[in-house]
Amino acid sequence: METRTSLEEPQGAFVIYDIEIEGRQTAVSVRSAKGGGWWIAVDGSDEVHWEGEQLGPAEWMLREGGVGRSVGVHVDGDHATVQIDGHGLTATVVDPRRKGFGDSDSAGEGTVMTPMPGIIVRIPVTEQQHVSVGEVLIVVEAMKMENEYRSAVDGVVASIHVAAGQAVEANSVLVTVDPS
Amino acid sequence: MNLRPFNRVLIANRGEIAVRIARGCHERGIEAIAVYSDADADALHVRIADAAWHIGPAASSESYLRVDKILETAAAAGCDAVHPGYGFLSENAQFARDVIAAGMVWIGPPPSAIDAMGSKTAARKLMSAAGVPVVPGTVEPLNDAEEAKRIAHGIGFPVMLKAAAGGGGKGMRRVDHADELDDALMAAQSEARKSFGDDAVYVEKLIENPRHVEIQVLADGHGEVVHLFERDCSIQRRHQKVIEEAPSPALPSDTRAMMAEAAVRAAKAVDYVGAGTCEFLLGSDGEFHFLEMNTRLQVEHPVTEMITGIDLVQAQLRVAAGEPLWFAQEDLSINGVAIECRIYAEDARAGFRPAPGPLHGYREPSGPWVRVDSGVVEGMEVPIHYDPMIAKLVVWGTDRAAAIDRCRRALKHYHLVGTSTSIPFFLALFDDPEFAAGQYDTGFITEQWLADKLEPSEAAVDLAVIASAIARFERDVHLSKKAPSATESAWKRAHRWKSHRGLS
Repeated sequence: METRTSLEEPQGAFVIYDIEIEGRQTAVSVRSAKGGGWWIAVDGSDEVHWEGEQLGPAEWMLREGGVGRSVGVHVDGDHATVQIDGHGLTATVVDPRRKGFGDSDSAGEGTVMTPMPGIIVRIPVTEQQHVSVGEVLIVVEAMKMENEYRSAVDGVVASIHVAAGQAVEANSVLVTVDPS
Repeated sequence: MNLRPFNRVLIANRGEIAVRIARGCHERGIEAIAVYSDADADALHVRIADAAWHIGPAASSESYLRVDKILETAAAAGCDAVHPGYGFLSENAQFARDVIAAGMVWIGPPPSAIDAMGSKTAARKLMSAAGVPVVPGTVEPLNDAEEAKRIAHGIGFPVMLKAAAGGGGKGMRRVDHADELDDALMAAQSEARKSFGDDAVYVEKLIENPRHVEIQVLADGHGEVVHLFERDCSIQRRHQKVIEEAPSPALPSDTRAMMAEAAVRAAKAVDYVGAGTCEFLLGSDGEFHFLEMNTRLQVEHPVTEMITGIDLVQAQLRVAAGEPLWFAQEDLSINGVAIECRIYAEDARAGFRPAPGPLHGYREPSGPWVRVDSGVVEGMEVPIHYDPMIAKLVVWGTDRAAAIDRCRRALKHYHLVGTSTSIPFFLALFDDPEFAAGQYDTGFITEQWLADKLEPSEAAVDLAVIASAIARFERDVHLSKKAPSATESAWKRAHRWKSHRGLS
């Protein structure tokens, strides 16, 4: 742990973000340091001083203890995409004080969402239809590949939120099944 | 000599291959005319063309596959030649005939050669007759399950059912036992009908985990045919290639000579003109069998360019203009090793699931013997409507180890933010001792391999956490400075207003 110099004094209030990456949940506190950079603590650890600057629309140079590394990162609402070691990682970064303001999704197990944008090819079920586990609910095409989404539960199709031929964004809710 | 020079080429394609063809045209002083759909208005091929013509909506059936629209555009733009690239209309013999009938030069093989190789069953028959070894099986489409059973028993299980009009892994079914034949035949026929509008299916002996090795050929319109050695494309996902290298690390030189000779014979059998590729399956027993001929430029053509020094697009242009080949077979040799990585917008860990999206950050690697063929720029969206390939990273090295080291370096220098890509897959592949030793076949990639090798490191996730926290924090600070939110207190607003006034 380095000693704080007067220039590195924390300045202003800290914000705590709930971050989820790769299934790992962390609470990260961030506040500005007086002479530049940030004081950051992960899951209640000691604060560490980071410095850095934005180099491009989705590129940051981040330094800790004088050692820097370029990281690809882009933030959009409560979602971030990060590139490290070639991996394209997606993160949710939520400020709990602003919850409900973002687009956090509370999907139950009967809800079928698409993890990627695409075009609805067909919907072999209708509303009020009884379906069982593994039954194909909807087929979405992206990049010449058809992806079938199957029901995770036995139940009744409560609502179909899209129509065949429609283009959908990533994380769109497609079909909701009420478990029986 | 029958020269047909042309000055303005319509490129009936998109993405990296449209860019690649435009480069070849421009180097030869030929104008390149681009066509584009709604989804590609800001694409690179549109930006570097001498002129770009809009041809329709995003769906390829309404744009890049519209023969009428493309011919109309070629005429209106005053083009005197058409290059189809790969995919889309490149193996559509009728399109080739229409181009020729309209008085333009078709930069591709004669339509009759496309037809001859287009039907897998007809091609098998033709190749057998020409003395090219084919995979044991039928040369006629199957009539019913009884016939399939009889033939399968004759050649021995396991067998493969394949669509006669097929390609790209569609309409293919592996059958291990006789009692699976009925269902498999029905499924293959239905898939073939859906994908190709033709339910003809034939049966072949299944060659377990073969290597996929192909020979590049080049023919002029004067009867001369040469080969440009092989490419090894055995690393595949969903029966599609992800990485290719030349030369093959597993081809003994006498097998190479026989395979190349068979490819040249295949090209001659259909009076081939231009660049084409004969694909072979190489069994673990060292025997090879003809699979199919692709009557067009291949995605992976750059690795051949790198080891031979022959620019295949320029060669296509010169041959199409009627020039005889300007080199002989004995002038060609293999120099070093080249590797191509297909940078796909796909999540390799999720079984190579498509991951279209915006390229928030994009910078290609460079440096000695590093080549990137791409069709994108920073800020662009990778469209959901087409192939998920963003770019091809091609490197050359004096030997295979040097090429792998260079490729690994270039992959690490690839800045690409906004979508998952196949980059981590290649990094893991290059660290795999079996791949490094050149020991791999078409069965190399398994779900287990992907699950084991593609986890990001702890340190990478740690840094990702810090980076997203900082980027989010700075964005929030920036936004709160720009637009006071409704919940901000009146006191704070007044204070800011005061301090602003104080500064002015």
